[in-house]
Amino acid sequence: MEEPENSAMESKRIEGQNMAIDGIIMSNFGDVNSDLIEATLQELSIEETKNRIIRLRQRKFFLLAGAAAAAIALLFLSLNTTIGQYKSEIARLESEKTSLAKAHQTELSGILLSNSQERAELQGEINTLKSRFEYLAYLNSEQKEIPIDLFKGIYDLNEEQLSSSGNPASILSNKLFDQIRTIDPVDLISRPQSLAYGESVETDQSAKILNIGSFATIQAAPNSKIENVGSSEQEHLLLTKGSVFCNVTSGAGEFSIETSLGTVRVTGTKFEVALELKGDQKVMRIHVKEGSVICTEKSGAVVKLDAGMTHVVS
Amino acid sequence: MDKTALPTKMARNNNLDSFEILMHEHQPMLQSYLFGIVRDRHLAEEIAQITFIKAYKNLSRLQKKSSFPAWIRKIGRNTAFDELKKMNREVVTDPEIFLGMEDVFSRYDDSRQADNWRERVNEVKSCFHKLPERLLNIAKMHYQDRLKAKEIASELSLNLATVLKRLERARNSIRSCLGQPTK
Repeated sequence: MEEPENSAMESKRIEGQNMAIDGIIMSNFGDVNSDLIEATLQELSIEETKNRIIRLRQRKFFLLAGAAAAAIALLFLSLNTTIGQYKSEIARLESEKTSLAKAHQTELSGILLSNSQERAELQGEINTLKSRFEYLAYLNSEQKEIPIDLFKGIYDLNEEQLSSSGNPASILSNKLFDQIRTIDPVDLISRPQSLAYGESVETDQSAKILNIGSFATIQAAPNSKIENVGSSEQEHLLLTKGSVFCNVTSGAGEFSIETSLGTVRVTGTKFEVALELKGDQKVMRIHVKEGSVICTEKSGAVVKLDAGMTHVVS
Repeated sequence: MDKTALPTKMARNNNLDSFEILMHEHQPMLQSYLFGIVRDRHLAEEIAQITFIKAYKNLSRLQKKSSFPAWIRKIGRNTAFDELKKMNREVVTDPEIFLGMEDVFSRYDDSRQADNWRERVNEVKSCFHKLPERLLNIAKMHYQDRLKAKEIASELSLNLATVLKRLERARNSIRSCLGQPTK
């Protein structure tokens, strides 16, 4: 082969070719170290094992992660179920609470009504006492003989006590004030208002005691509507909703309650008139506690009711 | 077995047994190639081992139609650069030189030229022994006895330039014998 006479690039290329031939010849014409392949295979086996361990660790990690995710999902589902159970339990308790509250409200209304009735009764007694006291004072001022029989048996006074005192008016006064002292101060503070003629009242959740004219006291139950459409000595109420308990002083004047179903007239008694719903039908219920009342129904029927009787008009 | 399909199959299966076949097939070539670069038998072996390990790890990057020998030589060359740099030794980086090396080695990549590397090397051996007597002596002293040009000059009482010239002529003769073009 001739010496290269070409460019530097060509000579470099020839140098490379010579390096390759040198490499082949100097490596004893391709003699090789057979241990090299064995050593390389060992290295690669170690690498393979390491890689396999890494892959196994990764698989283990993913399996654990999957198991953890599944456990969390199960826990979540379980919690969801428990939450659902708790929710329904809460709903049941809420419903029970509402029922109890309603029952309690009903019971409370009953107690309030009962209290109001008692208060109205007491007020009636005070009115009676007042009128007797005024009568007594009149007799005393006129120096007329006091009819002891009139007071016999009243406030535990017997004839002996009345005749020995020499001044029955004084004894009766003291008894009257004793009676007044026993009145609950709260009752005195919440002294009933009057329902003037032409006015109406509608109660909310609580009952209301009202004086009607000079001789009647009424107890309007919660959620009731009453209008005073009467005049002096001729008290006339219009009940359009709810119920009312009445305490009317006997002989003081006319007293009547009118509803859409009838009118109840009295001259002196204690009674209750209520407008109620019986199914879908509106009814009027009358209960007489003392004395008697006459009920004139819208149909024209007249019914006399004595103490202890109840009459329902539909 | 279709040897050209082997690397692709391994890339799919990551099969160490198949790779062993490839190592046996290409180790002499790779070692000779690396020997040509680093001119140190032990270092060439060491780099060949690192090269095979790298190649095995990166088999998935081997393109289907790529030549495995050329691919592994490229890995070997880059590994040799790294190792020589670590050792603060001179590194040949001229691309023309590596093109020249490829001229020789790629010729043997073609399976039509010879069935295996051994047969291919026999061609070089044959060309080596066909050298004229005075070139063969110096070539044997240099390649087989591992004497440097200066030592050969001293041994044969020749001047250094003459020895270098004769070694150059010996290489050219072998290249010529192998039918390697000079351009």
